[in-house]
Amino acid sequence: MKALIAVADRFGIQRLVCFMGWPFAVDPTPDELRRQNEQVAEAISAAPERALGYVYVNPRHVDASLAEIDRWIGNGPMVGVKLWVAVRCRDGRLDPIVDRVAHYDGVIFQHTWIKTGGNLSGESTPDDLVALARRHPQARFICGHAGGNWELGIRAVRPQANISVELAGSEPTRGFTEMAVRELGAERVIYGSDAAGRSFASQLAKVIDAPLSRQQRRAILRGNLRRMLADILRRREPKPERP
Amino acid sequence: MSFALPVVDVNVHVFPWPFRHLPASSPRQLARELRAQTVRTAWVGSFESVLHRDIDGVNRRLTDVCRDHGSQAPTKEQTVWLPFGTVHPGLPDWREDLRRCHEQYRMKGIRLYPNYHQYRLDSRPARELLTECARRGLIVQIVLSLEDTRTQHPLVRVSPVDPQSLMPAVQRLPRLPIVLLNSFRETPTGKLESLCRAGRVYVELATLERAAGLERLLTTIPADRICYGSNVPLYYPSAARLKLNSAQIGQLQRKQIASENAESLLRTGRNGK
Repeated sequence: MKALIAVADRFGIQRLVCFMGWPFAVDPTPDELRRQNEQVAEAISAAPERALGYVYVNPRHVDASLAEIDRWIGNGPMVGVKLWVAVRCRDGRLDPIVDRVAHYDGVIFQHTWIKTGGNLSGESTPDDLVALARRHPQARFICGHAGGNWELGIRAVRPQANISVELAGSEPTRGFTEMAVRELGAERVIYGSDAAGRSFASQLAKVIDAPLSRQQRRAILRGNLRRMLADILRRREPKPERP
Repeated sequence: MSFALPVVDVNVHVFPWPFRHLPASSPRQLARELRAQTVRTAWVGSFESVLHRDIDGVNRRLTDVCRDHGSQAPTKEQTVWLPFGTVHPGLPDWREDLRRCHEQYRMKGIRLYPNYHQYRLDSRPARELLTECARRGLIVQIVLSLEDTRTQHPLVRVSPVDPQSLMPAVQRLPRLPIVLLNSFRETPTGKLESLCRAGRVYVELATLERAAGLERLLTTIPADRICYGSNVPLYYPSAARLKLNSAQIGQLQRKQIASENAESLLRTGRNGK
């Protein structure tokens, strides 16, 4: 974590939201979930003022996932969940997971892709996320990678106001941020790096080079996520002592 | 982050990309952008090369636009545009295209798209083309890919070039200067390292990823084989610049990558007749 923060410092990146441990597990067992979340908790504990975490959950193991949410979001310090490629997220098994995260005011970060050559069997598309988000209008969703094929992903989530798109995980192809802001408004666009697999440089360029106002750029780089996490972070603040 | 260090950008295209409007694909916009990035010299290919079959028409327009927008005697703020025309060894009479690139348009090198033009680098026509480039003292740029295969248009699905298919030519022509473009997308660094060791092969930064990616790359490929490349206008221009500027490397290495390696290649390649 310290090494990653040292690289982030070169770009003026103040906070990192981390999730998933090592080795990658596409369909983690309950034990693997516990182990991976412990790895993340240990990593962010090394720099609690700089790092936040999402709990890795697997809808194939609902009870274990709920237990992990209670363990790490209910008790802190994590602030949301990460869903990857075990189950397409329109699946009904996600409903109790989303309800539990929403109960704690956390965010749901769902990896999405629309791969030209076809997705993995459990890999969600932005359409899948829209189906889930419609069932949970009170929850806060982040469409990870904006579907990769962002010209399609942005269109798919456009009507669903409780979904924001995240810019990371694809090449720094020109036009991505411009289209996202045009179609969704800057308040539904969130910077992400996908580090350490991706370069902070390539992902940051998507925001730096897009013709945005200062206000829009600030919203994408920090304001939007800060707003989504405001409730859960406020509840974590120490209560003032009674006189 | 300072953009002051001038660079030679070896990976630039001009004209429209077939699948998306790009803000800086017009020559005027591209010129403005290259100046803003303090690009001293841009090695410019044409996106028309990818699908057009009248390759000489493509090369002629490329030469004209480079002359019009990238003066050969620039002011301090201007960028020199060097045209890198395309030769497609699967087309009839490709040798005449090569001759014109070299002798008529006085290009320093050519840019190949083996995957879009559907030939292997170890095929007979490609071997002959590379041999002829070596004889003429031309730089050869090989575009290993243009786009992530996962985001390609479904009607135009093109696999990246396997750089290993270049190895026989590199071993046969170890002095031929070859610059691989967009080489990190799906190619293990080990394969690139082997090519760099075997001959005069260079890579560039555009598709380099990972946190501290340049420092990692330097553990396998030496700084004198890495050039600055942005893949503009397909990519946001600051991506490559931030990779270079943020890397914790020596000033000598940074200058080599920024401009010196590319300038050295231009000096050692023979000019057109």
